[in-house]
Amino acid sequence: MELMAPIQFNYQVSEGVLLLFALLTGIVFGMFLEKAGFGNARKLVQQFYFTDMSMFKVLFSAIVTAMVGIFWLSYLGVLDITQIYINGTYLWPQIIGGIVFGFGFVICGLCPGTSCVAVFTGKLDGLAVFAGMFAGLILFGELEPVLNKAINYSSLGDISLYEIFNMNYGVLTLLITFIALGAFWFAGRVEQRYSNKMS
Amino acid sequence: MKINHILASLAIIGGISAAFTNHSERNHLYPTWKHDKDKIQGEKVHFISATHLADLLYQKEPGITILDARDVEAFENYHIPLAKSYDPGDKIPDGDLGSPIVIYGIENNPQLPELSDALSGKVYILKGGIEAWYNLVLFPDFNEYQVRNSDKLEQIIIRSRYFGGSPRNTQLLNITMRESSYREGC
Repeated sequence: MELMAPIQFNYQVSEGVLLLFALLTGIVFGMFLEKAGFGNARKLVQQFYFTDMSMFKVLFSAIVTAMVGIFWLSYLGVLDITQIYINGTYLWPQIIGGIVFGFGFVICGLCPGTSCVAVFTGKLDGLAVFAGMFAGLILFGELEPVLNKAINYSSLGDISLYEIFNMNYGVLTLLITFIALGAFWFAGRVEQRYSNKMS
Repeated sequence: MKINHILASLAIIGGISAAFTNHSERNHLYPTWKHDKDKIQGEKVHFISATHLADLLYQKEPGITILDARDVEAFENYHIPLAKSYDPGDKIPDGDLGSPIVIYGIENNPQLPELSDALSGKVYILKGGIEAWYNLVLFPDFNEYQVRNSDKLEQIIIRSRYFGGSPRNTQLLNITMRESSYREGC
């Protein structure tokens, strides 16, 4: 039998089994977040003072791992790249959303994923962020039919960077790898400098 | 050597080798390397998905030869647009040599890998055979098809109608789209 991911497109897998996969992935993800200390707002907020850039490094590592991984897995025939969901680009809504998200992150010290981790380790601030996030989701869900036109106005579809820059997929992968490594090095330097200043 | 350095080196190796690898992006014909020992004793076979082939035909991508390896009766009954009936003994016209060849039969036809091996040039087997063409391109069932954004929904419907089919269970579309908006995360 050929085994090719993503399994829901290539095999008859019931919704229940898929949800089980999602649950297991979520548990492992949450465990690692907590283990890395990302359920703690004090730790996360330090990145905005440049004293602890670990969240930034973790996210960039995830991007590079996924990018290089998807490239090679699809090349080796393990993953059908045409079936991967690409989050659509809605330019203005995403710029505005990004700004609101940034403010929320600095003020609360938690992002959606880490707030869930914080809730389950019994942190009250986590619970507040979690509640706010769900209130926002419901509000957006209710307003979506009204805002639909405005949201779709700047929709660019599910495009990728190599399509925008008209670049070779492999070359772009290399370029982003270098950007990420440069960013790690830079983050390390900044971290060192500001930690020294604080102490 | 620190673990960070090892990981960084791995990323650089992965990235550099990616830059020198001829692996084109999702909108073009690309090879999917498979090892299916039961059928082809470890030989490499390239597959193409039915939806991908449909997109290429829809975009009028030039130079694709499509060969129908089923019997003549089945071919005359229905075949993928532009496909030519192909018998293993047939010769491929000279003009088509060097351009991508897509070959299909019924699903899991064990002869296909052998046939594709016998042909020279870039040969792709249609993944799932003519059944995949029916189920994913001509008559996509929205009850089963997990479509996740409106762009793709439209694409599926347009594609289906373009090739003379019609999507099934389109009344479920609103539900599918509504559920889809909760699939994203941090």
